[in-house]
Amino acid sequence: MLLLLATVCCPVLAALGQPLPPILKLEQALATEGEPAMLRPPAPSEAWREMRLPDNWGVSRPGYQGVVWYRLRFTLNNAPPRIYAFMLGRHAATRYQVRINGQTVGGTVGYPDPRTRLVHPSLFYTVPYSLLRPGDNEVLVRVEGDARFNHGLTRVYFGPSETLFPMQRERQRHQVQVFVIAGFLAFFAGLFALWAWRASRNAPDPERAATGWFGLSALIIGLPAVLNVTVGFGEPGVVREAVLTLYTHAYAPPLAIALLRLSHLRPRRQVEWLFFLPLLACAVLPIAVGEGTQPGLTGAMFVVDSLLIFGAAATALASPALERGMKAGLVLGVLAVVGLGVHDLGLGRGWVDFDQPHLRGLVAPVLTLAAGMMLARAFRRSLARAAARREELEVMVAARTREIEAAQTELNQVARREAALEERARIMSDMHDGLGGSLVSVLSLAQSGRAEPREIEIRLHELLTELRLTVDSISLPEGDLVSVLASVRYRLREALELSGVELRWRLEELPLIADLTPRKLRDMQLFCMEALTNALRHARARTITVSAQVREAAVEIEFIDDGIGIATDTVAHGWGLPSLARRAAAIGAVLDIDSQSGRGTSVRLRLPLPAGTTCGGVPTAATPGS
Amino acid sequence: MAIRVCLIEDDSGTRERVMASIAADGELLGVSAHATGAAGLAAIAEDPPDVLLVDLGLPDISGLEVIRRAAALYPDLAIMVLTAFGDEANVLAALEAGAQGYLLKGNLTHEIGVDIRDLKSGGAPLSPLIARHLLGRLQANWAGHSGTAAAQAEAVTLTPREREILNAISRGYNYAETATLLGIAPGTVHTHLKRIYRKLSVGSKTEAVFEAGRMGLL
Repeated sequence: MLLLLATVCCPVLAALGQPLPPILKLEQALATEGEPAMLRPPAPSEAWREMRLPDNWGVSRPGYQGVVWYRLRFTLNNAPPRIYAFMLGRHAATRYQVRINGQTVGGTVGYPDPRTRLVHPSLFYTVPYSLLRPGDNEVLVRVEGDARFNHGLTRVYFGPSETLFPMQRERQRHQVQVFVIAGFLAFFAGLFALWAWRASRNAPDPERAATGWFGLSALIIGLPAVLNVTVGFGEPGVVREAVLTLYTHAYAPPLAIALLRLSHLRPRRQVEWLFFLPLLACAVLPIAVGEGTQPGLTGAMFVVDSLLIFGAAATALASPALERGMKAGLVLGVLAVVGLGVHDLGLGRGWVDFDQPHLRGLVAPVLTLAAGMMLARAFRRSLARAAARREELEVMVAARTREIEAAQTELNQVARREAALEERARIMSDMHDGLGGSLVSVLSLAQSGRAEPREIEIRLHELLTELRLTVDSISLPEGDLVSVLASVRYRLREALELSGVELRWRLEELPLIADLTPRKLRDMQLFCMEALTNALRHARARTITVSAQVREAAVEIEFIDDGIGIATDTVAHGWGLPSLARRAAAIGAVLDIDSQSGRGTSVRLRLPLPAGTTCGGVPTAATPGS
Repeated sequence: MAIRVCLIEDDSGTRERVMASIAADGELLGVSAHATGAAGLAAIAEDPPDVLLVDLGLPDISGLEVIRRAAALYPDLAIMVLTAFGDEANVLAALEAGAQGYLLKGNLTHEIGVDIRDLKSGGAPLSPLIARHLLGRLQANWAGHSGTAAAQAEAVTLTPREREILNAISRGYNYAETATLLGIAPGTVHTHLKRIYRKLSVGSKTEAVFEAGRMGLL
């Protein structure tokens, strides 16, 4: 037991006491090309060539597609018992396999197509202590890849896991997270732009179209990063190639159009469609011609994308519509893209260390970022413009409102003048026909000397009452029948008191009737006055009942007396019946006179309510109960 | 004790008739009659009467001005306007100036004493048209002022009962009928009317204050 404990613990304790071994950078290797189908390394007798890592196939074996085996050696003296690890600088192949001392310690099962997923994670494989031996150790790396994508093998690092791991994490951050974050940014910028495009549906601004195109482009760029997948469906083949190539380059035409629209340039629709033509070639060519098109197509599309975007950028820069700040942004964006392109070119040509990742994955996000910033600027500008325009409009609306109000006032004044003229004409005719004539007849009565002074006094009082009613008629509230009836009673109260007749007054609240003009109200007033005085003068009644109420969509006004009655068929002129009929017709009401000799008279006026008349006339809430 | 009456009327015929009518009434005492507003006001200052009868169309100062000054100086003085038509515009202006009623010139039946006694008890005649106008107007006061002005407005808005009375009168009912309709004593109608008149003149003054405040005069 103790022995067991000692055998386990002693090396551990010994290791704890020792300093950590350094990280070994393995740069010397033997390499040989192998059969893709073969998973075992070629025999040592094969043509192993000595070489230095990193090995960029694009430089060392241009055009090569297949498998290369690398054999690396390192020496471990007194390696302390702890966990060790291998790290490959970045994933620069389709597939890796790593063996140590004849044992597989790890590998990748195939990496997504580098055209859609331009991230370069570093690879990290832990190695159990038991696989290592003091002295020489051998590492075998199988690399499956394609020289056209600059595949190859980076330097291989070996060391204690605990010191190698932070290094790997650091690399991971630079080589993966930057690209993912850029993709996310592009994706959300695209979503936002598309939302803004939809929301501003009514704005004809060129900025709106630019926003839409930009949104489309950014969405295409960002989608793979967000979904964390690549368009890597199905088996490799022409269809997959077609879709992949199409998707990889789909961002460029919308971006170019967005740049053009942003500088208020609107190419003809046909020209814009032309921008998309190369995409069609991407989709069609691989299928039509077969897999052989691939390298040529990729190269051609690189040229097409550059032409589109740099051409659009150059045109935008030349446009006077683009303000200085936006041009500066565009120049910066283009410069950044050129820098990224030069970096990748150098990587391919071996000018730049092969361990460094490709940066062309950042091209599209950088471009969209630049375009997005320009758009934001443009939007801010157009917002300011809209605010200014709105202010302008408000001022215009206010001015127009004032004009309309002035016109309205003038119209009202005209209408009022006309109403006043009409009123004046009416009063004149009243004076002329009624009061004037009556005064003349009273005058002649007085002059004749035959009349009693009392009779003349009574006639004059009647005239005064008539005059007061005329004065009242000027201030009758519009459409108010209650006021008409009430004022007639008020003015006739002396005559009523003198006659000794009992008056029963039953007046409900009546609705205001909109189409009762002052003229009609005057007729109504005279109708009521005549109906009442008829009853007073001729009926010899003991009681007169006056009532008004709403019945069956009409106002009904009744004058009922219990006097001697009249024979309606023998029209009694002295009773003023034709006058009543004439006034009723003028008001637009139906007159119904019912009388029998000795059994009183009822005069009923039915005035139909116009549609939409509501009850409750007076401006008051409380009405007295009876 | 007789009610002391002072008359300001420029038409000598009317003046003589009214004074004769007053002299014929045992309960009235015609103190003086004047043809101009200035003379009338001077006479009031010297010997304040109980009732002042004023014609609106005076040769020197307007009848309304006479009412305004007299009402301001002698709050207890009952002022009555003499008018030929009793038309809305004139009567309202007089009521606002501080008059408490109006007297129609050339009435057949009423002895002037009845009207004057009515006035003293508050029951000056009120035409339906004027009642209707007051309904709209005194309510409008209420709606027009809010907040701190509410308290002031309260002095010039109608109570429900006052509104009921004005409503009945505006529908042509006389005072007796109005009293029956509302189930109150005729005297109560008079009391309410007196209060309404006061509100009207207070209202017009309050309005003037509001107006002045708005115009920056106060």
